[in-house]
Amino acid sequence: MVETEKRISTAQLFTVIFILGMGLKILMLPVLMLKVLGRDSVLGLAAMGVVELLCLGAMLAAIMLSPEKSFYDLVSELAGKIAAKIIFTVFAAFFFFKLVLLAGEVRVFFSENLLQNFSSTVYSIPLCGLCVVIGMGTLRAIGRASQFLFPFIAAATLCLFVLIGMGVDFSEMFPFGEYGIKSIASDSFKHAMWFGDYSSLVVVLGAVKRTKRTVAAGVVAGVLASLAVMFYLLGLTASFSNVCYLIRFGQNVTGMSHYALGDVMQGRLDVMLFCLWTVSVLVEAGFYAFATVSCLNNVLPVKKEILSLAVGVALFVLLLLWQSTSDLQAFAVKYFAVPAFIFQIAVPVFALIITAAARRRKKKNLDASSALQNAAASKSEAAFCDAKEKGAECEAE
Amino acid sequence: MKRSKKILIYKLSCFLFAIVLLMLPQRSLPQSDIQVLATVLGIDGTNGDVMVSAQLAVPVAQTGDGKASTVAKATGGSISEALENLEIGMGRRVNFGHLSTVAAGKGMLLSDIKEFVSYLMSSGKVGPGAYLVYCAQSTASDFIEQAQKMGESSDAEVGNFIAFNKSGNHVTTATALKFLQTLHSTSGAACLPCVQLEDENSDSEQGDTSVGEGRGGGSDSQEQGEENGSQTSEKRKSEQEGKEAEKSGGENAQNEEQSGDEKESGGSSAKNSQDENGDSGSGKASNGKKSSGGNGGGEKKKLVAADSIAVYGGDKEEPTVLNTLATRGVVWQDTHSNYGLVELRNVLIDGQTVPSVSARLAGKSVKKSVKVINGENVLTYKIKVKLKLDDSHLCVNPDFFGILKDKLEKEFESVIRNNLAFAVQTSKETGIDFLGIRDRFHKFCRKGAHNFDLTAVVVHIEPKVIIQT
Repeated sequence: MVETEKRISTAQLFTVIFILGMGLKILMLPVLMLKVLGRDSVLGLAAMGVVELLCLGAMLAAIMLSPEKSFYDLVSELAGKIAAKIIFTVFAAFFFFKLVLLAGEVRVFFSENLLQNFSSTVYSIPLCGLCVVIGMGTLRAIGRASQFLFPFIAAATLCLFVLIGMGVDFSEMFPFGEYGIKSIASDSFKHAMWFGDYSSLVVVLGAVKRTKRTVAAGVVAGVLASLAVMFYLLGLTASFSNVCYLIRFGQNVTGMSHYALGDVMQGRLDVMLFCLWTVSVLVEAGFYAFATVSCLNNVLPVKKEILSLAVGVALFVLLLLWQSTSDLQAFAVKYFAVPAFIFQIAVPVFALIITAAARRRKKKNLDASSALQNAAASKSEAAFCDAKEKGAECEAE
Repeated sequence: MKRSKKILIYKLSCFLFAIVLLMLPQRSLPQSDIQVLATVLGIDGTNGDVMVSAQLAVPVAQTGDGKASTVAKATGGSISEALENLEIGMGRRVNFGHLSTVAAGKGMLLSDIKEFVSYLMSSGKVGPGAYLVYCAQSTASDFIEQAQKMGESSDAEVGNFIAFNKSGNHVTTATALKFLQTLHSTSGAACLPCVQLEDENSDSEQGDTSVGEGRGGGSDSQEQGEENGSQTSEKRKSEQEGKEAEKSGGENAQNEEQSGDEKESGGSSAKNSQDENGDSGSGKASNGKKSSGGNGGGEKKKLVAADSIAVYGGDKEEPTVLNTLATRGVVWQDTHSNYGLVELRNVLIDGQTVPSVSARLAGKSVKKSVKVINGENVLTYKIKVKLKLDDSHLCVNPDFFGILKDKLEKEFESVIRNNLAFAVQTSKETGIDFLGIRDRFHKFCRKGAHNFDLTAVVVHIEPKVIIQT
């Protein structure tokens, strides 16, 4: 049973879903897809976005169906402890790789835009430190942090929307359909690692204070995040569609907003906004660290603090060894496309099945226990009647 | 968690923070002593022999007001080598973070400019929003050197000038990204605004000689001719009196060009011949003020900009410089040029001639629709312009204003129609699709994009001018 004080509210779930849906995708995905698919990247992203929203729907259903138990407890009850440990090891590995990818992209973003003269190793340390701190925290703490930061993130995103919307000629994003459906599907599929962020919501199963509005809030958050990503991609496509070769990793969004400002004399307002917006990516990184630690915590009999520290150190070492984010991205595209796509769909479906089964089981148990109770009640009633009758007879005698 | 553990974590964090501080880049000199800021970059020559000139703001930490401005030049086999040599020659790192304008020298070839701008953008030296200009009458090196001499504190004047044109003037501007975007579109053509430095004196002389030719009147050409004469002499007198010397000089120079253009265009607009003088009217006036004689007793120079544009594209490697009328046509259909002053001269209204009416653009919307009608590619421009009259003294009499408003709206519509028609005609004649017509069909009318022929496109222009009261 998840303790009440550790659960997150619907509002906090809303912000977590919004941040999960937006962060990683805006950082590098638009550039990667634009370079491969040109203008048709918009169609590819839209298709993948729809699949992702369906997965979110399944996760939300699972959240609503789940009894107030952690997902690990449910899986181990239904599939056994060993199977649960294997499943959660896979989860942990996947979430950790997502974290590595995200941290690599954050590193590129900072090195290209803000801290060009600093060694990337230097600012990998605070990032890893943040992951350690959030990893050893509670879900409630992440929820509260996201809720607190959400107004700033939303305001920065909205300002960037306005800037981009005012400065970019959106007619440049046409025409679509130059690559053909087959290419669009296969190339979008290759970037599956950048999707499926809602799979990590398995760690919130059983830990949400559910209300009537939970599903609606989750769907709205997901749709808003998808629209934000789509808008960025549209702006980027309209800005660089004919000259994709010019886009540099890490400068995609800032380059676009810089251009959209239209006047180099106005200064870099966009950088200020991005500093606020980047907070969402850091929260997402923290959430992945938390998800990894939570999954590992169920598998290994080790304290959460130590696991969290281990995850942070492992992340730092990997970033140190894997200096090129392009290699990391190429690795994700080449080897992780199929597993990521399967994972993206399988986890919500699995969560839905498990929670539905658990609910059914609970209902059965409830029915059974109520039947027993009824039987016991009727028995005692009968006994009471018998006793009453006997008492009456005795009285008569 | 126990208190002792929390303290341990805190100590560990302090230790890590100390390490981070130790690993921060060490520098013996402050940033200001090891780098200079490039504000304007000029490029001349061709690949194999590239010359770069940069207007540099040199931060000086110890002396004076903390800055000095200079122009540095360097050559190299490629643009990257030339820029490297620039840094070597300066003995400082050149910071391009504040680079606002890149000037291409006269006669720069299409393949060269494409390569140079691509290099500058992909290397991150130039942001996508940096402006590109074409030096119509000199090398970029000379242009930057002269611009630098315009004043001691003019380290970003050229950049400011172009930026102002973008936001406050009815002219076309080109950013590095827009230039490459349009060049790589199916139209394969892109525009660059022309800039040049002129002697202030010679300009005003030109203006004086052009006064009689460029002025027009109302829609009635015969009356207009008569009016022209009187207005010309009046204007001459007024100019002799030296009223608004700088601005008149600018306008006159443009009038001369326009009169030439009108002859070229076959005279359709010459009949109307209103002088829509928005772009350089305010632009030149502002730059006239900028001109400075403080460069050791040399000639007074002033920046002249944006009354013509250079277009790259078609089969030509060299740029084609459009005349003023075609340039204005381009500006009218440019959705990004929404501000500035436009002017009509000698409008005949109800038997009365209004010598000059200035209006300020309050808004502009341009809709371009493409379709195939009866096998013909048809492009329709719908241009809606909102103007606010600057000359509010004309509106004292409400009855007269009612007539004036209708008349002016028609006159402005006629000007827009003629300017844009001339630009389309020029595009067809030169074979350079600088209006992006082919690209428009490619985007929004696939049927028309097949077997596209620029010369066969039928263009309808539907201007709508609203003068706000």
